[in-house]
Amino acid sequence: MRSVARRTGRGAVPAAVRRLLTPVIVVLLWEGLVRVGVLDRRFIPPPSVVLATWFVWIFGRGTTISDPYVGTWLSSARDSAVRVALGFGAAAVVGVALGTLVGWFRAAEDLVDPLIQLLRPIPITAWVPFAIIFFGFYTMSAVFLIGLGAFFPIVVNTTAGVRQVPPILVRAARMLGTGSGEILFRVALPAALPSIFTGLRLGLGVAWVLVIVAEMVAVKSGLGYALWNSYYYLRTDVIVAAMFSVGGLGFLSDRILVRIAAHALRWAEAF
Amino acid sequence: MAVLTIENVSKSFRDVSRGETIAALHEVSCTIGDQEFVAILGPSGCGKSTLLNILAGFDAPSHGRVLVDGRPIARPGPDRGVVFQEYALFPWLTVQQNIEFGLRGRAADRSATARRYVELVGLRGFEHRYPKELSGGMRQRVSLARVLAVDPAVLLMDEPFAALDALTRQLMQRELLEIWARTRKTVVFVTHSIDEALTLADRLYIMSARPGRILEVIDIDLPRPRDLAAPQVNDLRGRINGLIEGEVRRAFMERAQALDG
Repeated sequence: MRSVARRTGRGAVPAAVRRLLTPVIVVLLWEGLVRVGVLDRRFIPPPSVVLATWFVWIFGRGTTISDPYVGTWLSSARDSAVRVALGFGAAAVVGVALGTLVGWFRAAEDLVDPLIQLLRPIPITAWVPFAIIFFGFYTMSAVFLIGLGAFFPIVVNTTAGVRQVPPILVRAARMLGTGSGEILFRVALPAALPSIFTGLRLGLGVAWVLVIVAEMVAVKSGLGYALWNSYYYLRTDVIVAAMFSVGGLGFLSDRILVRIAAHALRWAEAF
Repeated sequence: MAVLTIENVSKSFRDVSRGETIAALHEVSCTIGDQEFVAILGPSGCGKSTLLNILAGFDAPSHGRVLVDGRPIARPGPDRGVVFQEYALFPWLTVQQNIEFGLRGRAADRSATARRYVELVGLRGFEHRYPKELSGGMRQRVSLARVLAVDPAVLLMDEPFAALDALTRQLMQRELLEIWARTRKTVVFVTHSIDEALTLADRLYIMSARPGRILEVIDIDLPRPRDLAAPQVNDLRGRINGLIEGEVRRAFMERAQALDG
């Protein structure tokens, strides 16, 4: 009923146009307000300037050595993406493995779960000084923070998923002659897959938050570093371009993960 | 060859929330012969599924013992295939993969065996579908094929057709009888439907309300397929109805009293 009403109401306007309308209006309004002087361009750069800066940052040739925002975007983006990939990858491997054990074996739950629950409420940002002292101002600091931050949602969701494996499926497997170890891999893990992917998505989101935090304070490269450094130069145009860069990469990586999940969970009733 | 011997089996559960012990089965004894098709009939909550779970090895009896060909049952095993009311298919596996689940040996052999059972239950063309894409009747066929593929001596069926619509149920009953005629397994079929039991079984065990006891054993010496409107069947139905109705009423009164108290 609802979709019929929507179609008849706005039949002439294609979906893509409808959905782009609001962002376009906001950007035009933003540009206009800066141009007429309602917004101070020293603090808020107009979108046209941000785009130009972004373009130079990505495609510019390094003629002026003094300007770090000419043609350096790709290496910054790559640095950040590599840290996210390393930290998230490690968190995924450890989180899924540990979460499965904690969810399945009582002994593992007793041994490991209290420690996880003890550490989990500590905000990851509170680990920053420790990370710098331990790993120094290097990539390892960032990878550690990202890994730790992504680990918790992954391990918690994996544990929940494995705990919620329908007992009747375990019975079915046992009655078909499946051994307990085999049941872990052939029943518990696949049954927990929807929860595991939920954890991975949450973890990936946290990873992009933390790469920026880490690069602002603990590492001297990447998009987070560019973001923080440009603040010292009052390059608000770079700040905005960097913000959208991080947002774009985060969005892209989430889409990729969702694609993978949609394929891996094509059997699930609702995903 | 499989003979099931149930000796003085009692089972009680601890209801933690109410802090009381509930007797589910009380001194059940019977012997189910090789290749027999036996139905266990009783009002809901009478412990008939509990008995089946003990036969399957999912639960242990509190007292008494259960033997398969003279050996006590310790755990579930592929000699006793279970068909669950809820199908219990692995949703992440296709029809073919579900049927292959319990098979051993080389991939090619497993695949060929599974295909044979896909044929047997009439699901050719659906091998690569996932359970969510199948109707209830089709899912139960997969569940049956999955169990038959491991070639158990005993088939334990826990109200397998209860969730199906009436027409599908009739069709499934007929096909189950055909498969049974061909494979000659020992079948223990739990149901609360008198007509279903009369359609399928060689012998009926009528169970009382909780704690479940065997009230009566009725042999059905009629050729299959049976005409449920035949006079002998009507007589049996009347007799069973009387037995079960009394039990249902007794169970209801007891529950009402328990709530009052």
